[in-house]
Amino acid sequence: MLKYALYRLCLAVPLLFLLSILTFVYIQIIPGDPVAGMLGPGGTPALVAQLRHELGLDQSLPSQYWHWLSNLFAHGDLGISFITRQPITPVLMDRIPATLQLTVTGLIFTVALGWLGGFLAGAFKDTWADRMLSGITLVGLSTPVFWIGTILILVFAVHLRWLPAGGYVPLAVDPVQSIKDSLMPGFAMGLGLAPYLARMTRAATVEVQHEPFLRHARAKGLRGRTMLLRYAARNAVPSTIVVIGLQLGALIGGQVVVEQLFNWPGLSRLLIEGAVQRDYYMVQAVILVIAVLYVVLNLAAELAHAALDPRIRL
Amino acid sequence: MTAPAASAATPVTAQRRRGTLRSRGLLNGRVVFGGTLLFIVVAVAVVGLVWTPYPADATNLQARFAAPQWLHLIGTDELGRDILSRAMVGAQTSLIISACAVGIAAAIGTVIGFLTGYMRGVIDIVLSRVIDAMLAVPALVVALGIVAMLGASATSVTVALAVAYTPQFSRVFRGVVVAARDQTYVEASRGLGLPAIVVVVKDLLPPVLPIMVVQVTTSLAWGILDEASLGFLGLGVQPPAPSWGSLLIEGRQYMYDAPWLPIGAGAFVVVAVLGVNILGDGLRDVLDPRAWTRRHSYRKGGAK
Repeated sequence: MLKYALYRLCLAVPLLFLLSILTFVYIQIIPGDPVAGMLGPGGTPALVAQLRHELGLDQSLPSQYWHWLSNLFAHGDLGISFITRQPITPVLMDRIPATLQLTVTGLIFTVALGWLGGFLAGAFKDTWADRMLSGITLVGLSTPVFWIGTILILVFAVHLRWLPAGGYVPLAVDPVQSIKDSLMPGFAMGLGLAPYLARMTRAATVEVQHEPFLRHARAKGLRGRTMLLRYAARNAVPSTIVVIGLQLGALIGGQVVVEQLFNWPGLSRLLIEGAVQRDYYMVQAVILVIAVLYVVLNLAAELAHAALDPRIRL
Repeated sequence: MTAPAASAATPVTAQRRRGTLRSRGLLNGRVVFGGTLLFIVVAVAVVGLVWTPYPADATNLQARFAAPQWLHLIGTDELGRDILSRAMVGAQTSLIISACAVGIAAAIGTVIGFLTGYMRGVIDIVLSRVIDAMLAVPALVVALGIVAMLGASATSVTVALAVAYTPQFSRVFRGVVVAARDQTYVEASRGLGLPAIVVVVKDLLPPVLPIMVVQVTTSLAWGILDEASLGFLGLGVQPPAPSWGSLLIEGRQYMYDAPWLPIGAGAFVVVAVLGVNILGDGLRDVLDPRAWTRRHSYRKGGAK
């Protein structure tokens, strides 16, 4: 297990390195001169040159990259915002608890709905239950998060008045309100992603039922329910964990929309604000953080899979 | 593909596959149903070119925020513009943007897929790692970053989505090419001294085509969704130009007073994406060899 973990870890390092280069290049290929744009019409050539110097933009590219990377590693410094001229790192750190809370809530809904739906459909393959669940899955795949989220708000916040339409309170300040706030956005995210997980779980459950050990169990005369829960479910679950890991990317992508819709102050809101205001350094920093999060979480999912299913470690 | 001259160079497996394809029937229920939905959406967009219930930009201050009714089937917006008419015109923009983005991504992805899969060597190592890194960033986030760079407009949304989808195409095609290039029939062509371009077009393109069809359909569904999402975030086609995305951001402002605005525009997206997804599912069952092997390993039916 340790050997496998080290091997996966070694694969992740060059990927992270490359990601840092790509996000660095992103700033370089912006058409036009961002510094002149930052200063607006009042930017005389002398001012532009001075600011370029202050930002270190007059140095060679490799030296700029080295400077950026070493600052990142030594001080966790992601540079300063183009718009506010404030350091980016503290702003980003502020947003991380909200993002994590939403991710975890979304993941809980995704896993609960996806596993349950997929397992039931797979266990009762080719029955009316399977057809109904597969139909719902297909509709769910095609329903945009902003649409389902809008309907949720109209039903649960405007019509029934059960949950707030948006907003965020930190978990430490008011746990009950905080959880209430995160229920609807989390559910919207779960509805968006559960269909993928349900499909994979269904396929895994169907596949497992044709394994020799299940045929053996059936031949021994085990009851259907025991067989499904003790044997089929237990063997179908590990492979879906990797799917969850891969879906995290989509979870983060969907989060962009959910955070905007429910007014949730997470990382993705920074990305949208940065994109609207053309705050390139902010966009660069958020993309880097999202990519690193994705790589790390994916690694965690693969290790969890290997820990649960010894066949993978071979 | 059925030209008799080509059959000399095609392998037995390809012929067998072709037989399966015909006997299975290209027109299964889902292909027909999904295709019909998509056809209706495209037809609505085409009709919108020549006729809409009201001119898409005609304001009518007497009929502001009219709820859905006989005269305005999906209601009207804050200026009394008919949502159905705007959604019909917007359908053109949305479908063209997604189709162009997916087309560009498929073209570039094919080239990269063949370069990396067929040429191997340094190009493969470098490009494949870059693609891995790009796949670590969610497509919508890549698109956001590019729109931030180019400014929000129909063109930059198209470019952004094309760049965001290219890595997936490259990855999928590389896999197919790598699997095909070691087949004996490809080796034979190379042994004959045929130039690489001929080998690629005659021997390697045919196995890629069915997978390309499936991948294009899947991406088209994403394209429509992502165009709408970008619009919803205020980074897509800018109002007052109608597109499904721009209708959504207009609708969002008034969602409490006039819920039919976001729901009506979103419903078009749902129908379009549902149609493409059902079509894609059906096509995958017929065309994607990976789905067949899975099918054949089961006794009956197949898992999606």
